[in-house]
Amino acid sequence: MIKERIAAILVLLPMAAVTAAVTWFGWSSDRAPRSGDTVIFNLTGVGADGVWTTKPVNGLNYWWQSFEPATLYVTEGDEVVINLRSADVFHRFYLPAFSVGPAAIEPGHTVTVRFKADRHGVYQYYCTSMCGGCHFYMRGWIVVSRKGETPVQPPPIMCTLCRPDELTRPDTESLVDHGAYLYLEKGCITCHGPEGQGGIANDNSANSPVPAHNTTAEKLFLESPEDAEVFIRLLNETDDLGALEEAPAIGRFPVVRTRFENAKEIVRNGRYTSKLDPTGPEPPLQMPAWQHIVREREIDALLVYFVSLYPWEEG
Amino acid sequence: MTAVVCLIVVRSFQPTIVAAGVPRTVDIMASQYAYTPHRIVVDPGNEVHLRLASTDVVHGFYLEGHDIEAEVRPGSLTVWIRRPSTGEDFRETEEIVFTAGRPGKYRYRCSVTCGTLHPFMQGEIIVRPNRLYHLSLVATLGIGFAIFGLMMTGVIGNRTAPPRRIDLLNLVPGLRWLVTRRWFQFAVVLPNLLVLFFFIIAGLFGSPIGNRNIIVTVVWILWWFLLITILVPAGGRGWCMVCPIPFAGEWLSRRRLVGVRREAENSRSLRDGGLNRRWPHRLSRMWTQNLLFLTLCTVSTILVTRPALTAVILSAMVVTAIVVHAIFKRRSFCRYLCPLNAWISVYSMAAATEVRPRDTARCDDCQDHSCACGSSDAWACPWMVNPSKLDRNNYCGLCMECIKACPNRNLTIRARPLFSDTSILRLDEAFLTLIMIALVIAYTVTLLGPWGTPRSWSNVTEVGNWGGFALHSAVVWFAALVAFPAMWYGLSRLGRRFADSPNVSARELFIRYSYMLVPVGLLAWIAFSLPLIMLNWTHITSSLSDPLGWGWDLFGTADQHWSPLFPEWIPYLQVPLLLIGLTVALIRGGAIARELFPERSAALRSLTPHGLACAAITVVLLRLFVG
Repeated sequence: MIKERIAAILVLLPMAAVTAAVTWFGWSSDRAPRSGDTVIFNLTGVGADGVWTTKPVNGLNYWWQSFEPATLYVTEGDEVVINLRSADVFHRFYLPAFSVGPAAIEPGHTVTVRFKADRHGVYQYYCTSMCGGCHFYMRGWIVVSRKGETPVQPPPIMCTLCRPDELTRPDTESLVDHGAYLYLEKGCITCHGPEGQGGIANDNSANSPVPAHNTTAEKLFLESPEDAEVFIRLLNETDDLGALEEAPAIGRFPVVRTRFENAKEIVRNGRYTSKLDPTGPEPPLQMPAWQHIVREREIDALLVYFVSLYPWEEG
Repeated sequence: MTAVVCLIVVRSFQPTIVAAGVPRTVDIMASQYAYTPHRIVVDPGNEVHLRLASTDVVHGFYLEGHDIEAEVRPGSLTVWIRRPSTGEDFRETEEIVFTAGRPGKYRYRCSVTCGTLHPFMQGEIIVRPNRLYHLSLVATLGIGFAIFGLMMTGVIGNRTAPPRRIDLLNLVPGLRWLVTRRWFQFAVVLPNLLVLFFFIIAGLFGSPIGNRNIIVTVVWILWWFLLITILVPAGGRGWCMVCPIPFAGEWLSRRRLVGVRREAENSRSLRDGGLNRRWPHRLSRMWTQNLLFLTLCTVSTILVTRPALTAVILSAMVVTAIVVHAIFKRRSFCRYLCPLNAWISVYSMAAATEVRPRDTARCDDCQDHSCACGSSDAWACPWMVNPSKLDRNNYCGLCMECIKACPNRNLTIRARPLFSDTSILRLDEAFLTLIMIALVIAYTVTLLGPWGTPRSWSNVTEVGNWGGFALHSAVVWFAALVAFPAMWYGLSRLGRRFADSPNVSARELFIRYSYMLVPVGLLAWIAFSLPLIMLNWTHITSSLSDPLGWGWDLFGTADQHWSPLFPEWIPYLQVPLLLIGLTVALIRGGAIARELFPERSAALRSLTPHGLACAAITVVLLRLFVG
């Protein structure tokens, strides 16, 4: 029987040791210990939900849990350390307010960034490498509050895509409706604001805030609600303004056409936003080239949607 | 057919037009998990300009044989490229420019982890003419003619004395001592048990990324590769000897890890070591296992890329084994339920080792039967076979109990030539060989193929296209259980008619000739698994340093960059493997034919349809691997 006992110990002891070791490592890396003024966060990028989360993402919970964007609370003067990981694909972490990043986060590699939270306020951090459908929603807040002050609680940035009840593909032919849908689905709203109102700040950009889209009608030289209406109807009927047999009832139509083509060109090829202060950080929000992601007709739909947003009643 | 092949060869060896400097511009779109177009055909010397774009996440582009690695970011019209052999940094450029090298097939693969199926994202460039492919077709035909010719003239395929065996227990000093130790099996299972335990923890609580979690990299890349290329061909069911899955169940029913407790075998209560029921006779053929294996293989794309699912399936097997051990006799789980047993069972016939009685006459005189029924220091055969009558490897789990039990030292381990057992005797076993062929073709299409659609169908939990998944599963099941068997049966009818012998039924030909699919299948599985390890070995080394994907770096290899091992030579290894499989199949098929038909020409006539079918399977696989 002594042999049996030895054998049983040989089975159970290493198992217990493995369990203990893994639990200890897991516990010690999951908590955020405070040593002095240093605050440690573990942020994992989850492309499927478009979030950076402080929760540990593992083989088990990844498949059924949806993660929420983390708001990081620190006190002014803290040394902040962030361990960054990816749970799926390539991400980039960028916190322009403190010149952190953009740091390339490859799946399976941990990247540690650190900075001193020397100014109080509410700042945004981003993913700046397109990482799937929810990419543009993949941003969160870091709240730096003064000592003793109750920190403000900014509303978390949630992905519209991941709440399918709020986003359904329109079943009409209307280009405007499709544009409105795409505006949410492709995440344009995250930079250009709800209903194209703009006003989203872009750190150190020569062009901040990000351009609004409810003034597109004006930029296309559509000078009256009637012009806009004709233009929208026209595009609903054709996808090639150059092939029209007779000129439509729009004042200055050739100019409108050229401006429209130029606008489409910006969506296709993207546009680089230069720095305001050349020595400062890279602006976090850049217009990507959409030509391989959205179809030509979808660009038409987006632009028609923008035209429809113009607040005419004032003029 | 001959004429077509001759035409291909003549065309292939016309002086190659080297289209030096002729530019070719190709736009490639990368999306999870395929490239469009998936196949590009160029001429040697073409200056190829590739413009690469991504539609979803960051993808890579590694072109084997041309020293090119690139990264492409969605929303960007440029690519980042480098020459991986120099280890330089990536630089930004508008397009990838290279000169097409020597003729052949080159694959381009994703080199940036881009999601669950990242390791399988690939496309192919053919530099015309694809000489290796054409030559391999000629070789297939040549092998067929040569073997049939040699058999016709009687040079090979005569009934000969059984091949030599080498008694390993006599030859290797200390081996008999080792395998007759009571602690032997415990000692070889224990390390695997601890590894399995750790892997399940890693699968559940480690990184959800397959290629960064040790359970996926070691089980589905390393273990699978070792099992197919080494363990089964060399040791047959050697894996069953060291397998940790039934460990807990066996411990609970035996109440011994090392020693023997004979009462356990007659126990009728759970308190005393299980009910020891007989496994229901109706389920005792391998149909259960065949269907379980097929089910597992239907979801295998998901299984091999999701650490948690692998962990859950392995745990479920452990739990099932416990339940089965509590209710049924001995290793009923392994023998009648383990899905992998199906695979190992049929291919262990090819193995270079066997457990057999030394002298069968002596066993016939033996009144003891300790080998089957156990003795004071050995368990009754856990696999429920009669070791004294062993003549095939199929159901012997190499647990070494019978060697310990035999009072006459008449049981031994022998080395023998590969592919020595040639008798498939039952319909369920014959079906298994056909299922395996259907599966290796299906896997090659979904996992190693350039096509995105079947891959996304098989990846249903991420893509959500249940219709596509149903279609994919239906095709696999139909091919494995209906189309292939129907075809094989048709050939058997034909073979019987050709042989013109009333003594042998089509059913018998169906079963006996299915052995030819063992060498064809085993070598095809080896050819399929070879690229897995040559391409993905860095995933193994990096996850050894960081098994849970938690940012550890135990051996300094965690941040190793993905770099495949001689990927451009993979086709040159796959072709000979497939051809060896065909050669062995035809030679062994000839021997089986001569057992069935006394007359040589009748034997060869009956073999022709199945011989051609083996050649056709080889051609299909050659097309998929190198064509």
